[in-house]
Amino acid sequence: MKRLQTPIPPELILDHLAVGVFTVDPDFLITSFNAQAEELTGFTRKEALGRRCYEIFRADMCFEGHCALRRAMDSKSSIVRERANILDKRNQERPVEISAAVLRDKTGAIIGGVETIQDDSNRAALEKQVKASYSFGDVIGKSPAMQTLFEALPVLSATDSTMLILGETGTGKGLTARAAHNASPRREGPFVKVNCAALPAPLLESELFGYRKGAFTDARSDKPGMFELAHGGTIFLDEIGEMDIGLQAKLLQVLEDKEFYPLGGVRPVKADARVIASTNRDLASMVREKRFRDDLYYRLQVAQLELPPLRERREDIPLLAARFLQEQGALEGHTARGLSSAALKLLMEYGFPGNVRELRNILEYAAALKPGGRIEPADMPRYLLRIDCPPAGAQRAAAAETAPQSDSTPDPTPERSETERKAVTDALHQAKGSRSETARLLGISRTTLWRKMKQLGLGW
Amino acid sequence: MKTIAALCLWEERIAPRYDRSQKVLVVHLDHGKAVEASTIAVEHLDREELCKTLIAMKINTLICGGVVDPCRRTLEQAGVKIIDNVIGSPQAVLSRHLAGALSSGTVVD
Repeated sequence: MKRLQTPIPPELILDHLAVGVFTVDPDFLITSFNAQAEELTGFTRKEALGRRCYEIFRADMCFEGHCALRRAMDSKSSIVRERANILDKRNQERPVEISAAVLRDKTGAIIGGVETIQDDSNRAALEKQVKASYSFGDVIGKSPAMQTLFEALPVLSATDSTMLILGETGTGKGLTARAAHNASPRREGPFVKVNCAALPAPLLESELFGYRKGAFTDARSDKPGMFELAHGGTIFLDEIGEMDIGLQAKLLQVLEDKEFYPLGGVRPVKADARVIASTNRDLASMVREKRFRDDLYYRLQVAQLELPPLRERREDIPLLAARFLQEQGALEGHTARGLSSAALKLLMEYGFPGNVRELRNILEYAAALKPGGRIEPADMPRYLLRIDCPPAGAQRAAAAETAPQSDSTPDPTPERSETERKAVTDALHQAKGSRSETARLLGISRTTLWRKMKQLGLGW
Repeated sequence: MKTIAALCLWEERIAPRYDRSQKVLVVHLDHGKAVEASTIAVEHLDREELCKTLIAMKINTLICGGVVDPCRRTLEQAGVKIIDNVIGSPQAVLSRHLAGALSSGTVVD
């Protein structure tokens, strides 16, 4: 074997490695710093040598009592491939993977430590991508139904077409509309929400289109409507199925002509707002029954999305529960908490007539009872423990009941009525008679609760 | 001219990361001379809350190690001058600042 004429200096070898390497003495002062460490941290070797390693490396773990070098030196063993985030000299946070080991002299005495750093940006980006594929804005889910939705949403959001979002109450129509706006070219513009069920037709008309001074006795000055306020952005017409048929004609005209006349106005106003509408009603049936204009229906459903009820995507319950508990913990400053397997089982078997909103409310309630701890079935609302909630058929029917009903809707079966009566009375009892709290517990609106109580013969 | 300088601290050193500061040394200056100094604990604040606190205190200069972008922008928009990537003990760094010789990237030990 041919001997090398000149030994290769160790610094030269280290500088040619694709990983950052630095060494420290027992006081954690940097004693060597290779080229890749310079590249990753942004500090030059000259700046780094003799400095405390945490002042150069600036990893999150340095300040959280998890210093890898200290642990390696204390335990006299190696720390292998741990993940950290460093803040480089350009003030950019960078994910890295680190390993640390002790350095010994010939007698075995510890003379310091060595740490390697590898850029982990690609893996972190990939993980972020995978995580993002489970969500679109604040809408989350990994079920096949939601995955299909997440594939369609970015494409539909990027267009300026009218969008119709269908789904039972509490399935996230509002969140989806907001997410679609945020992903659209109009994201910098306003997002204006109008609940079409909240106002009688004449008031809704003035709310949507505004009025001009003198249009009626109390019109002392011009008032812009929601369409004007949404200029350059998106107008979200929630519960479009409740809109008066006369007003539907005016809305259709706006969609067709891109302009409208405020009440009392003689000049048209340009309507530059994307329309997203939503309903929990079966609009196709309403069209057949002549309760919704067919021309408006066809105009609205250019891009149609249907949000599945929670009972048809049960696999999303653990993911949603984890997100809600995490959010709740962050709001209240608790550490992460979880659900016991029995509590999760209870949720997995429940029918969720109020869908995702009801799940959120249940967890909010449970989290309030058990701040910081693991949630058990006993922490859940009592109606959830008592009610007999078969997962699919009966619950689907019960869920349909939570939608605004017309007079023509057949009465619920006696069995279902009894189940619902029990759920409502239990929730009322638990909420100490507060209608708002009862509605919140059941995951339905106050209006729906009122309708439900009226239907069940319970006094409001 | 009266100004206020804030030095972010971590274990009696200038905090290597603004968002990991344990304390802030607040120094009131009058024509370049320190006239009053106090230390406030900020470990319980997250980085946005720390920004708000410093802005509410009407500080003019922030001296620290690294500062992540959202905080930097917030502070700069509020008119705070940031001297970052500073390494050293607060006493030595303050002396350098009072001498008008402290800039980003300064290392004093």
